[in-house]
Amino acid sequence: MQKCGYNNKGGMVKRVLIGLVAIALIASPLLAQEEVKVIYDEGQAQATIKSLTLQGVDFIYLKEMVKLFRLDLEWDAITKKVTLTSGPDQVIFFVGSSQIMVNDRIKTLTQTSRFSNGAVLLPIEFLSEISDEVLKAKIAWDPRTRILKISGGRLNIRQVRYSSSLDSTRICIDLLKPLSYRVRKELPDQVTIDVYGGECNPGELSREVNDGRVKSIQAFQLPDATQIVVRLLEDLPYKDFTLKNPNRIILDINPPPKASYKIATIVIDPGHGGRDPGAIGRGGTREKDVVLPIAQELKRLLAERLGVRAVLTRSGDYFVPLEERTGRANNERADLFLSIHANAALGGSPQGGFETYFHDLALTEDAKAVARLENSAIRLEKKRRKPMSQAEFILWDMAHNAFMHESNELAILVQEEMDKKLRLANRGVKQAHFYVLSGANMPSILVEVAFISNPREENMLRSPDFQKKVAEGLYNAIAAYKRNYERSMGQSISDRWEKE
Amino acid sequence: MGKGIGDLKRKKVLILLGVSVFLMVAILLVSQRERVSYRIPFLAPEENVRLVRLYFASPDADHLKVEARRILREEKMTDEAKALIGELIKGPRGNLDPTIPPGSELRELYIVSEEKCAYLDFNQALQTNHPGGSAGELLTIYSLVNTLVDNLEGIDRVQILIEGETIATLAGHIDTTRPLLRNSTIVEY
Repeated sequence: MQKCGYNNKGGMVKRVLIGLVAIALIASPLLAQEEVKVIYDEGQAQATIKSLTLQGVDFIYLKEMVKLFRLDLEWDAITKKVTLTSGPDQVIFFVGSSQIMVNDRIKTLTQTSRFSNGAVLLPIEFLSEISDEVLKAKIAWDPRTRILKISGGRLNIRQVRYSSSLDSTRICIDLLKPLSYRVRKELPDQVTIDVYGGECNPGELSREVNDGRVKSIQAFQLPDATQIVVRLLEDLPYKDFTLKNPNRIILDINPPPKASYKIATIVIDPGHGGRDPGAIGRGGTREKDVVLPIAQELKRLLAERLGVRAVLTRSGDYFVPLEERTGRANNERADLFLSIHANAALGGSPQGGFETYFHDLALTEDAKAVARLENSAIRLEKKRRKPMSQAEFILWDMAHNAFMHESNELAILVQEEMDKKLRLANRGVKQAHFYVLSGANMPSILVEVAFISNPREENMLRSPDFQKKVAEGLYNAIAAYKRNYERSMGQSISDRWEKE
Repeated sequence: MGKGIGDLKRKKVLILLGVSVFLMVAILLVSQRERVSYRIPFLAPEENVRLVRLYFASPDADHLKVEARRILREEKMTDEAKALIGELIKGPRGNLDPTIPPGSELRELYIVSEEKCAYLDFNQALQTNHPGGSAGELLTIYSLVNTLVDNLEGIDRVQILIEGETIATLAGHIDTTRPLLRNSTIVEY
């Protein structure tokens, strides 16, 4: 038969023709316009989108894909950069490049996106690469039947996130579209949010939190609503509101009261005391005896003139461990911590003047190394506190940097105001790794008001007149700080907190 | 009489000669002694002596300043570190102020080379005889830290101990529970 066929002239022509067509088919990027049937959730709903088959690879149109999955599209015509967003998730790619960036991770496709008559085409493979992270759906493509199956993709509650700050926890429920909801507190340690018409994957939303306020977040899918239960470690107040672009329900656990943007409580720490006399002058004056009246006078001035509550770490001549001093300030939720000391140094040369210190972590080990060390110590000690995660560490680091900045501001003001009141050398603002300041969860400074080791300044330190002047200088600095702080910070922070 | 006068003259000359010889010998001896005592450190061959930077307090107790000094080279880093601390304890020779309280003695010095850390174990005097004050405390601590870190390549950090124990602070201010790194902000050149 074969031989016979070869001898057949007409058959030969036919074969050549077929061969030519085949070569043409392979060589030219022949476009075959076709359709793709989209089936949601096992046949519950259907849609049809256009597709193109290019050299055996199936492509869909970017614009149709965006509509299908309700993504936000951003297009840069110059760089040909496409940004697709869905809630907090994002895909970035350049048309023509095989690499795509999914939530900051780079993935490589075997086929590249491309242009066709001004439209952007995506290989179907693109969908499966972003299905888990961005589309939150399972994608199945059957090239034979040209059916694209999408399951779970129509969930309108995408995820529940949380972030912890020093005092509050913010829980954020990401919605695909605005949904009505109701929040209630049935138990003292439980806040329940019903999101009407919500559809979610409960397993993905539920999680342990354990940040000291929130124990866990649990999600339940009801027939007509999603129920999110926030379990608290103790009875804490909450506040809820919604935000747009993207749509979110925000639940703040233990929201900071507006008053916390005011300087309301100041802890004043008269240095040393009891069995620790501090520095002793040549005339026998003890540091612990001269710093106490300064602290007491400052407390009086703050209460009378500024209406600020001032708490002393010691109100008499007794010993208070260093840890307890800042511990007191943390417990009082103080807005400022100010430690008052008198200076001294070795050597016979006349030293003198006043200086203000604030805490600097960098001078011992690298701050991050210290945090890690403490983490590992905690891990060994007890399982009670979880070690800091990277995100928690960044928050901690940011909070301490913020305090450092504010501590520096206050230190500068103290030097300025003391300079106006005292006729002593201004030794400026300095940084050091202070044991007494290291545990403070607020801006904190240590003031060395004069040199007790200098006989002239020792005499000054004993005089009630000088003590009053120092207290006034410190008062003026705190008053100026309070004014600046409440004007610049108060409004902007409470605004940011309300609107995010 | 003439003879007597001559005798007297000769006597005078002799006395004068004797005195001058005595003076010359005395001067020579004194100058020699001075030269000898002065020269002792320099008698060591040059390769056995090294120039070190010691940190002492500025007269206003505001900064640490460098005093250069020649000390004998030691074979072991631990001995060299001990020698450096010994020089700090002796105090400054120039117009700087001391940083180490009187009575302070270095009990022991350990170097953990993997950590590049020197552990300085002082007697109680470093703490009890310290005058206190943040300024004084900073000067004491960083004269020790900076001197060791600057002069010894194998040391990056210094842990201060008293009687073998770590201490929270020397005089109530600066945290000494952990090894400390060199502080450049306190130095003035």
